[in-house]
Amino acid sequence: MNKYTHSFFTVAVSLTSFLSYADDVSSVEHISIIGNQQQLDTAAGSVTLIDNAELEKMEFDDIAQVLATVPGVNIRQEDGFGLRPNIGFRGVTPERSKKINIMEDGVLIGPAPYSAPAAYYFPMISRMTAVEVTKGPSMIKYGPNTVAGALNLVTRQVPTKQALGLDVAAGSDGYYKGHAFYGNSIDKLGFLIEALTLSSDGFKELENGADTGFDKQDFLAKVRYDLSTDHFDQFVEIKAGYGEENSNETYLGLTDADFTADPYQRYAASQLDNMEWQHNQFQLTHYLAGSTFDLTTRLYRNNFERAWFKLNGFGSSLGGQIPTLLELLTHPETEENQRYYDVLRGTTDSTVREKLVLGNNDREFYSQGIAIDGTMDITLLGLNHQLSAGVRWHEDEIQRNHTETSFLMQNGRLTNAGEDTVATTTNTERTKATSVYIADTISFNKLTLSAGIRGELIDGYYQNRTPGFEQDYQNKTTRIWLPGANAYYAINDSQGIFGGVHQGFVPTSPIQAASVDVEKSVNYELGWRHVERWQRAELVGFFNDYSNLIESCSQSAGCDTDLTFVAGNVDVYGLEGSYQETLFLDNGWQIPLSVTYTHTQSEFKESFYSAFEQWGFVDAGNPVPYLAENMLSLSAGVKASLFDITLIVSYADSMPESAQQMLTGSSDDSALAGKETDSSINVDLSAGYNFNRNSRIYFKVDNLLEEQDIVSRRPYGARPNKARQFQLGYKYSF
Amino acid sequence: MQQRIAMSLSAVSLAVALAGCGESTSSETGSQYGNPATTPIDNNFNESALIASVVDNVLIPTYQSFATQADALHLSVSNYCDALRSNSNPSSAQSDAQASWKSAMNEWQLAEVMQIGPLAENDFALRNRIYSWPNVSTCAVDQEVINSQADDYDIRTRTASRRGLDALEYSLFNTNLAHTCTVAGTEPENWDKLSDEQRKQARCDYAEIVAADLVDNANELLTEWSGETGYGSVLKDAGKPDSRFSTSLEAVNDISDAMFYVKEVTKDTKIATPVGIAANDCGTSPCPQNAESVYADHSLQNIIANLKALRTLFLGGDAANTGFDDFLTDVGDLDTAERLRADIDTAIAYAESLNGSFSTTLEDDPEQIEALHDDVKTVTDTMKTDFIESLSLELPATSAGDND
Repeated sequence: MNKYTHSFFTVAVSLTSFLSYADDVSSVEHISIIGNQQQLDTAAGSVTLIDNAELEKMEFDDIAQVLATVPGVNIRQEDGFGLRPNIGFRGVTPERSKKINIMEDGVLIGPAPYSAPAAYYFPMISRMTAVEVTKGPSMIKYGPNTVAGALNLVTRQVPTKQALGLDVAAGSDGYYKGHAFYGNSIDKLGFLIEALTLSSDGFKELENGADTGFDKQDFLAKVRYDLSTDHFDQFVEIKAGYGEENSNETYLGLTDADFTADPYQRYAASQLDNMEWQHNQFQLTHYLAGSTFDLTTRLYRNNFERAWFKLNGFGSSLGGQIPTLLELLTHPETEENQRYYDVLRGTTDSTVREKLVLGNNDREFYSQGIAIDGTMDITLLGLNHQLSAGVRWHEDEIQRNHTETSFLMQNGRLTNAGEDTVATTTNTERTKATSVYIADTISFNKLTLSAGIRGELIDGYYQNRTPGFEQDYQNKTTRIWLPGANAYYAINDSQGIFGGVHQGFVPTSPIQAASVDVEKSVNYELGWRHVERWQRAELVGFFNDYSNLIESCSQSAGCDTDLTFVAGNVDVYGLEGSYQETLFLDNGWQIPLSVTYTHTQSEFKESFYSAFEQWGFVDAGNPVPYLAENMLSLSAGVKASLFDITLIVSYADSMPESAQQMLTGSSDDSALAGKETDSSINVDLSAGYNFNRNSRIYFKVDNLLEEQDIVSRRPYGARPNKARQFQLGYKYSF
Repeated sequence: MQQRIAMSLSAVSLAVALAGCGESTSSETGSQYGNPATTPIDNNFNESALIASVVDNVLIPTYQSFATQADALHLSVSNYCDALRSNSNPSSAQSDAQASWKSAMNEWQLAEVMQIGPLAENDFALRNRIYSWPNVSTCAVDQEVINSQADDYDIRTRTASRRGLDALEYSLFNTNLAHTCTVAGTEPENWDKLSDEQRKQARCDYAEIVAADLVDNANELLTEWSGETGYGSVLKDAGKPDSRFSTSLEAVNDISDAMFYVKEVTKDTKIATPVGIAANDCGTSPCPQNAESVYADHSLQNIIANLKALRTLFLGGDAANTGFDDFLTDVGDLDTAERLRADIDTAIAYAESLNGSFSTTLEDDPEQIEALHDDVKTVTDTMKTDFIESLSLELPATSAGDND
């Protein structure tokens, strides 16, 4: 049962990909959520596949750079390296990617996707062989969040014959990458081992010269046993992985004036900030397929532990009103803020009125479950149906053990104030969820119709574990059914129109009161697609009609725990366009071209006040924060047998940092009312030379023009995009 | 054919219709979960009577008394300045002004535990104009002494740390006539060229402006609370239709929040920090410079006033009035009602038994201040547990999860 059909992208894979050479492409489909390219071309919805060839072309380590060429993706940068990316689709908040479903090999990979959806763990994109983006009505197959979309990262498959790959690179700011894999299959048994290390000294600078970079390691092993017979494809696969990160990352940014003077400086008060995490995963997959059906069963367990020690704000032994870091970095010039600002920079010593409070947000997560997904082709009443259905029993948990310790700034260094470390948040949230979906697709001549429904049955449990607060708990149950329908009509062999509607949903976490409504929307899309072998164009209009928009405010947005805020009725609508073509020169060179454009409009339909710092005083008609109206990405290259060059130019409009559009003078104002991020133009260049079929050298420059833009002033002050980075690498494979 | 397509989709359509696209959420919560103030406890207690008692017997009389004291303070400062100008026994006039300041401060320290409504609005703007401690700056006051000599000077446009009782304390009690600005460029202009007499006069002239401003703010506070539209009526109407409080318990919770001043400020800031239980500018040793009212050495009296304010709030005035003690008794927690009242009395009695000023005791016998801390902590520990839980009140955010 090989559904694979060559087309535009897959030919490109075979022409250009070194490391993917050894992959058995057909096996990718078993893990893929999209399927093959032909299905992609006639999909009744917005789906995008970035294959291994595309990924290797630019050697990106940051998922934000990878997704820059995907229409309908809105991103808020944070640390410049993409260590904790903020990704949204079609206007949903990009905050910690909490409203999209992030999957690895079809399994939810967020630390606790139901209980604490903020994605503080994100798999290393450098080891992925494909990235799949799904938006629109086909979303009902993936949950729990159906309002925006799903992002599936596909790891390297067990090769069908001996395969080895090596990739080493070094670059500016102490960057280095080491990546290796080896796999083989002997008779029915195959295996793969893979290791990846990534490191940088960081492009920001502390006065004391300390490292502001990161070290990440990732190890993966797979064993696969093929049980196929004449009539069935069948295999069992075990995947185990371990990853860790140590990064000197901070939430502390700069005042606008300091950003203008030197966007890469870091204040002395952030000198001890450090994130450490460990992640391990286990997955058992069984795949069975006959001539008219396939069935995939996945058993999974992910553990994640993290501790982020970082500046939370100021404290005072003398109490009183103390400005938040965001307030004092927004108005450092006021009499009240000046001394805090000087302490922050290390130019003035602390008194006990300006103690620096560093929090250690220690959290442990697990996520486990079993998912069964299947499809079946049947003929009923003379029509061909493809039925798909799935069920998932899932459980996840977050344990928060947050503490705070006071420090004093003395001679530019943070010294412990000698006070006891105090516990701040000590609680547990756990969710058990059963998800089911069923969908039917009927094809008749040029028309393909699909309809389906997803059910989410969520039991949440919250417990405050602070001694004396045993009665602070909640057991909460949410049930929801999410229908969706779509259609594709083939105008001719190369083009078609499609459209659909589905119910969007984002659950609330177990700690939120039952009176806080879940997020709900009705999402519409209508599109046109033209596909030829070397040319592809797509235009999609979308409209997300929220009856209730909610935002959970995590620490990255200025809250200690994930408090949920409600905005009610909101509209988000826009247009996504993409065009790709490959030209062929007489000398055999290829010229791949790509244009991606996204226009998004949003408006709150009601006027209200919210204590959520990103909203404040909202007037009906105000746009949703952190959503660029226009985003454009252009990519062009030259590809020959011995070399290739690719240039990507990405533009994004400035974005409002708050829904409130101007300050009112009230103490309840959103501190960043009226402020916008910078618009940005980013240019990335990559070039490679192939010594032979197995060996390649590559060179790349990220942010070629050395643009220095404010990508966000949250959580605490202005932060820059990634500095210009040069990189030289060598790859070998057989 | 269209008919067949429709029939084929009918199963899924039916499922969609049956499901009704519906959503339901339900929960079961523990007694400490969330915001119980929005769900009144089932009791027969008349919370409105408690609110009326606190407003009429405690809050408004305290603000009235402070306004009277502020007037007296203004007058005595004016007399002091006149005495300086005419050189007619200025030290006696200064002593009178200092005594007036202490009387006003004693009254204000009661009001400190009553920061509700107009005092708390806009980030406590009115409270800070009257008394901004611990956000104080003596250098800012030094600058203001000179700035205030300009013809177009308007103190109403100046920051809180240059105004109020804290600025007056520095002006009236500080015997050092040098300025306190240490950062280059911040020194008050021409200060060093003034004689001692000119400096005294300049400080007193500014103190007179501050005292007049204090009177204005004290009267504004009283106006905000008085009359049919005043905040006193707003509190008393809690739970009625069109009230800003959906339940009377929400208003009770506002009063309770204010009472936690004794935990967060009196216990932690006024006692724990200077004695060294919390880090201070001397490390973790006794540190008089981190006490409140350091120029007047009035911290102990302030602490006593805070505790007395807690007592009157708790009782709704005195034992005959409807107060939190009655509320606790009504919900069946007589033990907490009696214990809390006794513990407050114990703390007041111990504080009043201390001989000498706060700074002297801190330096000579810090164990006594630590014992005072323990007494106050006994009170606040009961407040944040039994008191809150029995009355289904919500802890102020600043007191939640601090693992006291």
